[in-house]
Amino acid sequence: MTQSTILPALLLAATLLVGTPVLSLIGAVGAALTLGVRGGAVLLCILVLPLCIPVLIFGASAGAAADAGLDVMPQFSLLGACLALALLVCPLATASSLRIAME
Amino acid sequence: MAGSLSPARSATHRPGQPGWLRYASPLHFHPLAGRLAPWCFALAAVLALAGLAVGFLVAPADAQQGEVYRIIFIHVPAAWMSMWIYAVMALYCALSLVLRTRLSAMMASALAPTGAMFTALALVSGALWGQPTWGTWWVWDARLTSELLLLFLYLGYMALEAAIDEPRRAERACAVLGLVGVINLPVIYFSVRWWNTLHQGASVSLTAAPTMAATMLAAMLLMTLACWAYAVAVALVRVRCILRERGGVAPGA
Repeated sequence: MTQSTILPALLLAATLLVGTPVLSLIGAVGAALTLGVRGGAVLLCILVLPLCIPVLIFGASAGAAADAGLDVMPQFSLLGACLALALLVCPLATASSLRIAME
Repeated sequence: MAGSLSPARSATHRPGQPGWLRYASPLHFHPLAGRLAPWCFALAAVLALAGLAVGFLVAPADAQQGEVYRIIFIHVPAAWMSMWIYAVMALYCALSLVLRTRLSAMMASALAPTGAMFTALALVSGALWGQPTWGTWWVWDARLTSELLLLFLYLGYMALEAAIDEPRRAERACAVLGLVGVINLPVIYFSVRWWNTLHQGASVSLTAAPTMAATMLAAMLLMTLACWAYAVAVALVRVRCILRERGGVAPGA
């Protein structure tokens, strides 16, 4: 492999590394909210979709920027901001949704 | 019955409370909402008529877009209201989670369908405007996509509420979802500033001088106030229905 193919591949792996935890955290909130609800699987999709798309957009645009030879730091910073925010908010939201489901 | 409120407790008016707090109790709020709703409807009708009259008869045609631009008189108010209603909804969600007041949860669920309606209206009117102006009904532009996500947030909120049978659990679960979804609101609002998009930036701001003719601005503001009054009126009517449905108030009250 040449330098020009290794770098984008590494970059893609890095965006996945930052983005995937965000998706899992959001998914956890959705799963906790739909716990034991009828039609939970379909409901989960519509609940999680709007929250996940910004993350996917930032990840994809990091790849697109690297492809175009641009700086990828803005997209990475935004992904990192998403991760920080999700780490702060999602566990709390998951915990309180589980509490509501257990009542 | 799981959904019943405790009227004896919620109707008590403690001496130390400010007077308006008594309307946090469903028993007092139900008649108040009934009295306010017709006035709000009337206000909405008057403001809408005035706004449409100014918009169609007084405001001049746009220098670049001609007559097509007149759709902003419904498009911009609908888009503003779609975001504002979500913000208000999230506030009620927070109140219901923190203070455990059921009326705020009911207000949030009363606002959701109206918010979804305004979001859909903003999307449809934007598409109708985009076809002659941009030459396409839809582009995957940041503002349009994020507005579509807002519609999904509203729909998810309503779907979750409909899927849970027990009202008290539905209210609290929806409150959590509403609060999580509020993260998307700044993304929508600032999307035209953060990304280079096809959608134009805001033409109206509180801090800068308006870039449009005074009559256009007046018509738009009148229509915004009309939409606002309409949203309040519909939410009040709907919250009365919810109050009766969930056993807060006797049907004859």
